[in-house]
Amino acid sequence: MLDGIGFFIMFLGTLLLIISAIGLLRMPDTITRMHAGTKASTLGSLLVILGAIFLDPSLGFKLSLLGLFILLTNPLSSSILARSSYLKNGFLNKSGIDDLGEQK
Amino acid sequence: MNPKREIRVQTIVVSLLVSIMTILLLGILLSFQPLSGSLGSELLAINQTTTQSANAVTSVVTYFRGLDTLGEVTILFLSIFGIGLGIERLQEKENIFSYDNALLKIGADMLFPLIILFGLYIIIHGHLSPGGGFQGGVVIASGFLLMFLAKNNEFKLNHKMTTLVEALSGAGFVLVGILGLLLVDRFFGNFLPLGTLGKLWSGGVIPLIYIFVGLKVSAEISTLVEYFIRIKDVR
Amino acid sequence: MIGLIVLCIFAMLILLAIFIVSNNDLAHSVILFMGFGLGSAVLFVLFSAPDVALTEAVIGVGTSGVVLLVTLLQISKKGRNV
Repeated sequence: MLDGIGFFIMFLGTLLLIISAIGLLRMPDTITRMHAGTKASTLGSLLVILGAIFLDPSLGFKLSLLGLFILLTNPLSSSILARSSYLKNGFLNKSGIDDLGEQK
Repeated sequence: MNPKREIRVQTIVVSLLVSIMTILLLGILLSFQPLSGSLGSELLAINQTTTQSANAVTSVVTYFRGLDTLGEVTILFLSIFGIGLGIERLQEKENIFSYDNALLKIGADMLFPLIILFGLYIIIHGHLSPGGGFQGGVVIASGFLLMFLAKNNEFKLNHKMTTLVEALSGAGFVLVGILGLLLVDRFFGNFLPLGTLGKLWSGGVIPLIYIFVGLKVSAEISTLVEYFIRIKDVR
Repeated sequence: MIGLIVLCIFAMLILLAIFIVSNNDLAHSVILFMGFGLGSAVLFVLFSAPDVALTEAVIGVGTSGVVLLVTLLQISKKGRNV
């Protein structure tokens, strides 16, 4: 039963990772590509780790530390990538909302 | 004779030589026969009785081949010493990354203790799980690299401190070897109680050697990275 | 199954090596080199050598990649501010 729950959660996680990869290929510009590549892949990795905890509960502490590490690094690196792309290439989004420009 | 033609002749000669060498090497490789009952299985057989270390790789690296590890550490020290000699004169105390981001600074502050803790875990558990002194030292140095990249001029290494750590750990590494030579039969011999297999206090002298190696490698690689990040105008 | 994954990673590594050598932009070459290090780290794990994989992941992807990028920034005129 526990194995079944673990495999189902892992399946959801890999599904999210596949969706993130498709978004990375299909999105038009840098910012939206970042949106697809980081949010979905963060949740996907966390779900895979949660499934692994269900599969082997004795590794739970180490795996949750790994999840904490992913939760800390992945949004941070994506934010820094987006910011440096903004500073280097200017505003490339087609939606017309420029939050970082309004702050200055 | 025009120069183009000479180059062509040279190219033909070089390619002929390379192909002859390749054929010779292939012949040697094809006729090579592995020793029956190789060294690896022999080492694995005596590993259980002599060191009580769960990770056989570390007992090979530090116990059976401790002298080679000393040579590796010396090579690393000499290369970083050479880079320091070449770069120190040109050194300008300023980071090349003029990048000011509050989010990155806060995130680096939160990540730095985690990375250092992970490196220490890898060093201390070197005889139980994959890893050891070199790997853990490099992980600690990558934590320092993150701080150098994130906080451009607010984070600097204390060079007296790193030199002291490096010198003391290198001296301690050699001292463990000499103690093994004096107290037991050979260089890097085991003079500590062995303990039981799979516990943290086991492996005899291996964790001690790996702690020294880890401190030395982390100090060296962090100094190297700081050299590379802080200089300007390489000629 | 493991053999299939190993073959895929081998093919990816050969392609990456060709791209690294034949690229005109040095920054792209360095980034592809970091990808090469990541692929070989996965390969080492599959060949049950986690010690080597740990070293490769930290040295090949992290430290040497950053050192190469910093050197590239030092010797190029345009990239003074990242």
